[in-house]
Amino acid sequence: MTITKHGEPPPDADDKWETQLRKGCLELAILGSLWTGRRYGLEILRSLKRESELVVSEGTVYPLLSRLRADGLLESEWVETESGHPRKYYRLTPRGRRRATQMARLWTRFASNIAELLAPLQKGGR
Amino acid sequence: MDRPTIDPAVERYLERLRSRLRGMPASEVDEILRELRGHVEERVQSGTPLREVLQALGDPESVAAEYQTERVTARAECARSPLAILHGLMLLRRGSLAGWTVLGLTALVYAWAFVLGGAAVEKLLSPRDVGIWVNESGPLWPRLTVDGPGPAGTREALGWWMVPFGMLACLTMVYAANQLGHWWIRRSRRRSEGR
Repeated sequence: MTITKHGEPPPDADDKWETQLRKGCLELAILGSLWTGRRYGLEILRSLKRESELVVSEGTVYPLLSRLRADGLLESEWVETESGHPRKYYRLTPRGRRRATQMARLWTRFASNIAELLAPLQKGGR
Repeated sequence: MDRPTIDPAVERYLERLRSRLRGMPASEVDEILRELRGHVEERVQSGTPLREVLQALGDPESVAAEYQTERVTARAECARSPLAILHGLMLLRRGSLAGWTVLGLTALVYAWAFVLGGAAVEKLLSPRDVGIWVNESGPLWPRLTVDGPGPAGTREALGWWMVPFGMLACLTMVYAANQLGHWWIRRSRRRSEGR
């Protein structure tokens, strides 16, 4: 992802902006990945990696899951597996579903406004 | 199927993580370690080298910091209780001088709020022993007593006004310390989100 052709800010500032953007979206992406049913941490990570480029460090996803659960947006249960490692499955609570819908609506509106705002810039950049 | 053999490197990683999660309830810490152990075991079993798995998770210090920031400070950010705010600040100070300064300052303001609020209540119980005393002559140097009248040559400045003054000062100081604590916690969260 390179939007830095006009490149005034130093590369560090670009990295920071991108990291913040990814982190900000991670919460919505996690709620989204649980929309169709329960999943455990590694499954969520795999789906995020497959469908988005959001995960920078895997270690950020588990603390976020733990906070979303503490906020009452997710609930979790331990399931023993044949392979020996227990898995902690997460699912959306009704509150989590409402929050995900609300966030998705906001996201769509926000993204289309920004796209509109950036349209002249992108034409000019070519 | 048997449980996979645990590499000592995994144990070391989890122990380092555990030691950095202090301050969180033991049951919560156990659950975190159990979940991450499962993650590591399953990824190793599916063929990823252990080194890569641990590297992808990030070093235990950063992972622990994420947990601390996400959970404890999220609570402290909306907390009204001085103890919860001080706890959040304790966890966030991370050895930085500025962190220690904010923690010390907040604790000091809470302590003063406690003293002035206590003095206001005590004034009602033993009015002669509590007051703010100023010199009758010479420089004005007020001192607070709660256990007896001020030294010779001083007079009490506030009288019964000590009660509303103490209460108001107490509430204002708690409010100010809460604001300072919340501001620092929000700032630290934003910083850690920018990492």
